[in-house]
Amino acid sequence: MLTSEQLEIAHLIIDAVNLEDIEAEEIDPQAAIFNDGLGLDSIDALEISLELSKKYGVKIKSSDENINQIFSSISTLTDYVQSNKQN
Amino acid sequence: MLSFLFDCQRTLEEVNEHWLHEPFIYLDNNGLCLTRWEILQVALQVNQSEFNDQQSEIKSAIILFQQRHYFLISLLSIALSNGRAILPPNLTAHTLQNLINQNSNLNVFSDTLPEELQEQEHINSEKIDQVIEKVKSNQKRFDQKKLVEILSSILDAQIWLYTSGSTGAPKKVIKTWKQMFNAAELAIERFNLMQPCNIIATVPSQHMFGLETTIFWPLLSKASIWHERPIFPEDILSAVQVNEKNPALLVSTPLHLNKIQAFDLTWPKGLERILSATAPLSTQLAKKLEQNLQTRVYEVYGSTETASIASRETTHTLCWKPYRKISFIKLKNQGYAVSSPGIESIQPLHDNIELLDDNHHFILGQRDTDLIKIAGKRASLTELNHHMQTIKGITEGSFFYSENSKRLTLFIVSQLTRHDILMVLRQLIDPAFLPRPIIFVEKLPRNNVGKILYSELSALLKS
Repeated sequence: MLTSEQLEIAHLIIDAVNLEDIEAEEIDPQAAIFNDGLGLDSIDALEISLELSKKYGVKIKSSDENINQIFSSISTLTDYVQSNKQN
Repeated sequence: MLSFLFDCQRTLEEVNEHWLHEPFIYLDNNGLCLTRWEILQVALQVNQSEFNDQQSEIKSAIILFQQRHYFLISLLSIALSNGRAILPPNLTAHTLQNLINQNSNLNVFSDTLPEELQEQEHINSEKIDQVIEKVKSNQKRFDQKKLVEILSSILDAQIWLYTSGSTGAPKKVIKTWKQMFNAAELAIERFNLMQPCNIIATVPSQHMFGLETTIFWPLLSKASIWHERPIFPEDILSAVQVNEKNPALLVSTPLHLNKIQAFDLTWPKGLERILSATAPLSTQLAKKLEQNLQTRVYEVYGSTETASIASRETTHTLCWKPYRKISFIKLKNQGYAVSSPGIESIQPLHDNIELLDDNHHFILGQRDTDLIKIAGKRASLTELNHHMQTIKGITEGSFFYSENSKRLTLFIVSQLTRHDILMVLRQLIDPAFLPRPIIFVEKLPRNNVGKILYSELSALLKS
């Protein structure tokens, strides 16, 4: 079950990368976003980060040491956004 | 440029020595770097420890490293045994199994191993880092004779690259180091890379455009290169500022550039040029980039078979200017072939071109509609459809690509679930081409001779 913050991130991802055939509510918050999970790639990561910067003012760099951790699931991404958001 | 390396008659030892000891691959923002001479020494040692076993059979190595220094060291070390460097088009089980079948003595340069490659000899970055450390602490004196010897010995070594031909199956393109050197020489001249500059590239070294711009151009010119393949704009920004002494040159694709310019960032003055390739760049996007990033935008034209052969400044002209020594030959039936020092014989072009003058300036015509490009990767719809139709439980289906959507749509007649279909497709095709969305239909719209009606698929997608 997704929290309301997680649901918001799930919607943002779906809109950003055009996953029209997935319902946000269906996504497992702990499941992988990339490759084996939703099957997203680096351009998707870029699109998601663009939306995150617009909506929350969060800036993501891949030289952030925990980048893989941040993007590993809806749950970890939501936690990162919540603790780094500017607006 | 290359002639100066090989021309021992001219006493250019000093020039060579200087060039070889200049910063070449930047490893961090504090000036830590590798020089060309260091890279050569590391590659020699890796070759000694990994490939020098006197076995007569041909050695091959798949190179999966994304970081430029690990990639180049791997590429050189296999070439030093006159082996094959294999740059796979994707990492699907299907592709990797084929490569294993074709190469009995197969090594892998990578930090992570796909399941199919678990059995192969494996060289990771930790091993290479150890050699780098050794070389850094015990530099061998520069030796002009040795350099010429090394470069001469690898000229015939092969690099296997892949493209999706319009006929369906991925097509292997074999390039020798000599051909890559010859092609690089022309590009270096065109982009004035004998003037020091820093290259930052978002493209992988495993594809032709990346191989040229991140490996061969900087190796043979005075350009340096940032070691990572940055994805996020913040990373590109910090890489651009790595050496503020020299202008920066960003190598990317229209898809990536379109995203980058959408971020609200302040770009430094040092980004002198952007080179874009792999898909057409709109004039509108080129204008935006020039305005927002305070830079000049150039497009590069080429293919896996030909390497890059022409360029244009997108905001100034529609017309492509071929590199020096490139010429086009009209073919009997239709279309053109290209002749270049970077290819063995002449190579027919996939694109229709219209020559404008005696200097072979040209404009590009309609592209083959079977070939699509997504995220800088090329695939053939025929090939994708072929893979999809091998899935048990699919009655019929068709991939659909429209210029307006960023990804492919799959129209499908099947009882399988979306999840099941994606699970199998992931084994067969590159993730960039996984369909979004998958649309289930009762049957595909066809005309009276059975041809799929793409106009109706397009209407279905819009509805």
